[in-house]
Amino acid sequence: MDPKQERALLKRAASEPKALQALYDHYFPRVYAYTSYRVGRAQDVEDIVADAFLTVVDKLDTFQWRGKGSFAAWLFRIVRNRVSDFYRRGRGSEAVVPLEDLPDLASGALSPADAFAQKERFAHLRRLIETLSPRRREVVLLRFFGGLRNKEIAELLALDERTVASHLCRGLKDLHRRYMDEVKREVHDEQAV
Amino acid sequence: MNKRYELMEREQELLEEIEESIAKGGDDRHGGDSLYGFCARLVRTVPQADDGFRKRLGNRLVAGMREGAVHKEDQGVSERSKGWRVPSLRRLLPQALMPVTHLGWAALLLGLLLTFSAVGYAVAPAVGRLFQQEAGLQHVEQADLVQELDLSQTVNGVTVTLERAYADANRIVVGYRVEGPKGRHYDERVTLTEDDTVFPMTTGFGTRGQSDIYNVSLPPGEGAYVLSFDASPVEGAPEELDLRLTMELREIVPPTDTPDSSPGSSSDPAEPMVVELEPMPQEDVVGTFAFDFSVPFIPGRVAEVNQTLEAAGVTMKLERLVVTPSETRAYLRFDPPTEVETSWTSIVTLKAPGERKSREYFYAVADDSPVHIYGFPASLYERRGEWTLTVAELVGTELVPPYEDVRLAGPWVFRFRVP
Repeated sequence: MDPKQERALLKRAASEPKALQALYDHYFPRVYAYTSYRVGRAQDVEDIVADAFLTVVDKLDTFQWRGKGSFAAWLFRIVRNRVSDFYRRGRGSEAVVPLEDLPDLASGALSPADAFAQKERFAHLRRLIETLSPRRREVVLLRFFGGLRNKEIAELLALDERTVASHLCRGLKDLHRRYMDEVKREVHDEQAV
Repeated sequence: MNKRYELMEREQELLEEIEESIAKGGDDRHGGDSLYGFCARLVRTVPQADDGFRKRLGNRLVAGMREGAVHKEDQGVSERSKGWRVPSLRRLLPQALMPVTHLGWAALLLGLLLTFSAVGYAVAPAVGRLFQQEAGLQHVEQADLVQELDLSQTVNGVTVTLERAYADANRIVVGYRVEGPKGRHYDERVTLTEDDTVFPMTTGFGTRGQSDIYNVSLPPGEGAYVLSFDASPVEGAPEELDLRLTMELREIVPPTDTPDSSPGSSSDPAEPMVVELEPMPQEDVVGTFAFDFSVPFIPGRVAEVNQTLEAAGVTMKLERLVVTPSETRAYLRFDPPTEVETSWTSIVTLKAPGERKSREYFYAVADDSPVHIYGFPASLYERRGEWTLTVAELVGTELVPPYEDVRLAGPWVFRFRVP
């Protein structure tokens, strides 16, 4: 979204439903995807996403525009706080979430088998991401699923932008290495059978 | 520039590829097994919300904005009583619903009515596999420190089997299974006590049905769970603990009359906004299960550190480290001076002798200033010598609007010996 357009929408969002709806439509998929990777279970994701957006609307008048990306950083600060609250209340933990409880993936009409395979892929990636250190995990998730730029992530996490870039690269390399290790192991197991 | 953060050329290329991949929604021209291919795979694996939920929430926001008091009215939507959406069917980490004394009395009275049968039961692999999912539990499992219990009770067609337990100075862990009719969902409110002492629940996880992730396959209607409780209320070093696990089991009954969520979802402000209210699911109490059992207690090693350091104007004290086979805990004390009420946590890492890398803390047992207790579930019991605990940064959240984040960079680096 163009920063000027976003700023104009933000000015009107407290009083114009259309402006609020446009902001919501733009950010909802990103918030949902990020929260899904953090929390897993679709019902918990919905709880947190709803709570976060309600907070956003409630506190919109306190938001101060500080340039491009400042709203995204503010929004995701609220989302991250909600996720932290969720874990602080002793929910979720390192939960093993059954596949049927995970959110669906973005796709068109799928056969049940394909939908299942997609969920398996999501569960697998999510589990890999959970093996990263909390900071690297956060950077990867905010970049890939929150859709935040490195600069916005740096602002959100109070890090240097180069540090964010470094965490992103190294986090991805770690993930890829672990992913390939698992692929090789699976191939080896199949050959053994 | 700090050399640590200087990006190598290849990393810069990777960053550019990431940007391109995200922009193109996961273009995979490099092949699935390459690093770039993996990034593309990640980009393509995006969870998507149920469309009905998205529309209902959008409507709710707009309607609330019009009313001018969305959040104040509802105080959030999750599992609260306004009932405009279906809350979670099963919380993996249930909190005790009632005061312990109530549960204790309820357990005592209902216990007389229960069909109680402690039966020998071959340990199902599911709970054992769950123990393998965390380094600390994996270690106690391998060291044969877990007490097998195999206690079963059946109430109203639902069987709960308390399979195993473990206790040390940091935590008490129980593993159990719940078996009920296929298609039924349950929520357990679990309390662990020893006489008048209540052990707060800290973490937990579990699975129901089939989980390919953890290679656990349970018959329909069956779930396996592992819960950890804070053992710090245990006084002294008893040889064993005589515990009571009380579980109030409730069946979650989905609403029978769910309205169609598709209408009223238009974003056209000219149309009246209709907020679809879904009925809340009902919860029917199945019964209360009460298990009495004993488990050996491992006192662990305590390093009384009592070191005080100052950085960023904040005095921090590492009081002690408690090392047990399943977990290591650091007891810190700090309370940064602030103008407004602020909730503080910290970024803490721990390095034990012989470890190549520091490990970040897994969860906070307590994080309310001035007491901050951080748990590292790992097998560090045999590590003796010089340890290093580093608090890199304090992270505060102001508890009054506009809820700014406050960060205080340290580090506070504690070096000490653990005998």
